[in-house]
Parts: sequence; C-alpha cells; structure tokens
Amino acid sequence: MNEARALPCLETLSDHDREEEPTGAPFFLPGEPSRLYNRPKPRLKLEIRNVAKTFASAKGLIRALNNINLAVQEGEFACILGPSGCGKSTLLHLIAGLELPDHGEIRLYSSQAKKDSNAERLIIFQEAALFPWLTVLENVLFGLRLQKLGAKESKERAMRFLALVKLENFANCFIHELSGGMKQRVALARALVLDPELLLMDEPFAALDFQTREKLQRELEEIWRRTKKTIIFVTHNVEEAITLGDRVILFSGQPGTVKQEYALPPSRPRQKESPFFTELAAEIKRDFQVQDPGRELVEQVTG
Amino acid sequence: MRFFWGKTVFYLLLLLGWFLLAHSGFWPEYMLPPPEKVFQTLGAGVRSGRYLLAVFISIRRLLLGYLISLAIGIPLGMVTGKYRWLDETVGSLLLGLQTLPSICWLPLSLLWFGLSEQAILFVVVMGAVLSITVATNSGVKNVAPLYIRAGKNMGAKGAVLFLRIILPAALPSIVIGLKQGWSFAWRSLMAGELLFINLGLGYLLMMGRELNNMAQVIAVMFVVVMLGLFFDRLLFSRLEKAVRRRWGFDHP
Repeated sequence: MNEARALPCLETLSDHDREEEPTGAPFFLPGEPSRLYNRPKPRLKLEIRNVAKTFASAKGLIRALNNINLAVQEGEFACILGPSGCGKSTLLHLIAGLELPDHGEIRLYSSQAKKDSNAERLIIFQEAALFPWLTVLENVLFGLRLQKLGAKESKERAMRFLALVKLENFANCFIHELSGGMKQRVALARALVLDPELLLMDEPFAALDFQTREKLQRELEEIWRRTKKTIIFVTHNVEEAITLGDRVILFSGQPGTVKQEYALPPSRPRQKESPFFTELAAEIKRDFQVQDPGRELVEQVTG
Repeated sequence: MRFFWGKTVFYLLLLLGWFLLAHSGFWPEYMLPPPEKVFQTLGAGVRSGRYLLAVFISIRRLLLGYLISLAIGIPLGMVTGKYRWLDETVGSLLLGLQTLPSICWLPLSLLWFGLSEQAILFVVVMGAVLSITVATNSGVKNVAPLYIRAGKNMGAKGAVLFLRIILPAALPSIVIGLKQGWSFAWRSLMAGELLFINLGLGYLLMMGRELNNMAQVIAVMFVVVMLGLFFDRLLFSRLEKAVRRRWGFDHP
C-alpha cells in the first residue's frame, strides 16, 4: 500500500534543497552531520514477520498478538491505532526488546555501522517514566552516561536536545516541578539524545489535556521533520493518528491483528477542518465499527 | 512554628503542676523531687563532666553499632530484595527475628562475648539491623516496574541498573528504615546499659536508682529524651523530608 508512494522524509536532499528548506536551521545530529543530507533512497527500517505473543493470566492464556506483519520505512512516522487492550502496547514492547515474541521475528535494519549501546529502540511511555531523583538535565544525561562519552561533550549534547524540546531553562528543575506536557518533552529529549534508530511512543500524550496534546503534537511533528527519526506512535485517538502519521495502521483486539492500513498524503501540517481529514476520520471509524461494533475507539471519535 | 505559645504555656503549666505537687508534701522527695532539684542535679552532673562522659560513651556505642547495622543491613536488604529465593529463605528468617525484642539477645550476647563492649554492641546491632534490612528489602522489591523498564530500554543492566535505578528508587523506603533502625538502636542501647552496667547513660540511670537519687534518675531521663529528640529532629526527620521532597512525594 505504501511502497508505491515516496514518503516526504525519505527524499534524497541535495545541497540545493537545503538552501530552500523553509523552516530555518537544519538540525545536525552530533558526530554525524552528513547523515541528514546524504540519505539513500527509501529503505526498510523495521520488519515484523508473523509475530505472535501470548500471556498467561488468571483466566488462562490470552493471545495478545496474532500473526502481525508490518514493515516500517526509514524516516517514516507510523501510527498504530486501536482500542485499549488490543495489543498495540505489547507490540511496542516487543519492538523495544523489553519482551520477546513467542513466534515470528522482528528485524531492525540499523543505519549506523557501529553501535556500542543497547539504546537503539527507545520507548516513550504514557507516564513519562522520568527518574524523580535526578534533575531534568541528569535525566537527559542518564543514557549518555552509560555510554563512553566525555562529561563535557555529554552535557553539551544534553543541553542541545533540551533546547530542541524548549526546556533548556528548566535543566536544573526536579521532575515533580514540571507539568505533564513538560515531562513528556523531557522524555522525548532523553530518548532523542541517544540518537535511536527507532523512536517508539506508547500513547505519550494520552494523559495530557487537549491544548497541551495539540501543542505537543505540533512540536513532535516539527522535531520529527528536523531529526528524520523513524517513529512508531501508538494511540487510541483517531485524530491524533491522522494528524501525525505518514501511515495509520488500524489494529483490532483480542487477539491483536492489523485490520487496515491507510496511507496519508505527505502534505503537512494536517488541517483538522479539511475535508480530507474529516473524511478519513469517518472512514477509519466506519471500518472499525464494521469489525468491532461498540468498542472504545468509536466512543473516542464521537465523544 | 505553629502553636508556639500554646506549647510554651502547656509546658510552663506542666512544670508548675510538678512544682506544686512536689512541694505539697504528698509524696516523699525520693519519689517525686521538685523540678528545681532535678535541674540542679542536671547542672551539677554536666559541670562535673560525668554526664558528658556518659553521653560520649553511649553515643559512641550507638554510632558504632549503627554503622555496623548499616554495613550489614543495607546489602542484606538489597540481595534479599533482588533474589526471590534469598527472600523466601533468609528474608523470611529475618522477618521472623524482627518480632523478637532486641534486649532478648542480651543473655545470648553475654554468653558469647562476656561482660564486654562487644556484648552491648551486639544487642544494638540486633536492634537496628533487622528494621534496616526489612525496609531496604521492601524498598527494592517495590520499585516501580516502569523505572526498571525505562532504564533497561536505555541500556542499563546488571550492577548499573541496580545502583543507578533500583537503589535510588528505593531510597525513600530505605530512609524510613534508617530512621526506625536508629530509634531501635537507641532503645536497645539504653536497655542494654541498664541491665549490663558499664558506664554510659543507662549506667547513670541505674546509679540513680542504687543511690535512691530520684533527681538524678529524672535528670538522666531528661538527657536521654533530649538526645533522642536531637537526632530525630535534626537528622532523620530532615533527611526523610528532603528525600520525600526531592522524590516528589510531598507534591500533589
């Protein structure tokens, strides 16, 4: 479905293109400034083949995921949409390597020759999972300190990524002093600073109020555009998926399966009032109703 | 300082009541000496250096015993918290022993170590070490899985995961254990010094009884209370508060 069209973020940019980049300063990843502009043609980043996962519970075995097949291109923003309990978070944990699949395989195609850390598939949780005993800056430094990097270099890098999420003035704050939205921004900086191959986001904005969520969606879109990260974003909110995704992958639950995929046009930012947006939202909602009438996702859309 | 005046008035009234009761002649002086006599004894004791020496000896025993308890209790709590099989075996034994009042270790201690410093240290350690172990154990076991997942995801594992995530995450609980351990050590020491007379504050207290000197008994009790308050308020309550604030527990 999505192979046919060229994703905007994967186009090879020449120096000439850089001149015309409308959005200001290009974002360099420290240590490898050439990565941004000598990008090869679209290529596979993540491949999920026949993955299945079963959990043991009090009621017996629960099949959380059934025969998942999914491919994500480098630089793609893929949104996995589905109701609570459909196994989408489980899939994210499998991709992150926090759990192992019972069946099938997950392949990550790394773009870097050397990778001395394990931090190549970083997950951002619904609750920010920041460490309260560390300051904002120390949280961002956490992963860097596990790698062999000089203290000064680490700090500079951490500060640069705090600036990316507009929190450079809060570097010395404690976590409990931040709002929910700020916490998620710190979590984003803490992940991005490690330059992961894959950024996995598990309903990161679900606990935030409406305005904060919209603001963070815009910021995330901008950060994604500048860093060219491959993002897999899990949500139960149809509008959020359409706002952010290059592709929306609709899941249905029990057991979790991929029901439908929707390729979205490259134009951004997406306007919620546009006919395209509302029609697609209605279509997704309809598709979902056909498969699973009366589920939580539908309520989310109408309510 | 809320209720500052209320507190002041309360304690002044208490002193006045004591004063009147003592001078009413209802009880003989060796049962209830007047407050001024107690303070006089206290002053004389402090001036002569006897009280300071006793305080010094008791605090030294306390510190030594407490440090030994920390050195044993924290690692023991960590390993029993981390390894399930150790928790089920050693951990269950420690939990059972915790119900034993530490002074019950004195006869055993005397038989093992004789009438020595080691005997009293042993009782102090047995008083403090178990609550430190149990608190560290439960702190380690109750670390939010989310922190561990986040840490592993960023590449932390093994000792790094333990020292940089599990231990700091467990610290609020460990601090409660430290505070409780300190107060148990203090109680065990006083009980030990009373029964096993060898200098220290407990010895002074017992001397007061031997000499029928109630003023000295009350004066030494006063010193013991003041020392307890001093460590609790100035050290452990502050430590606990600082940790709770930093960990965000005191913020809704």
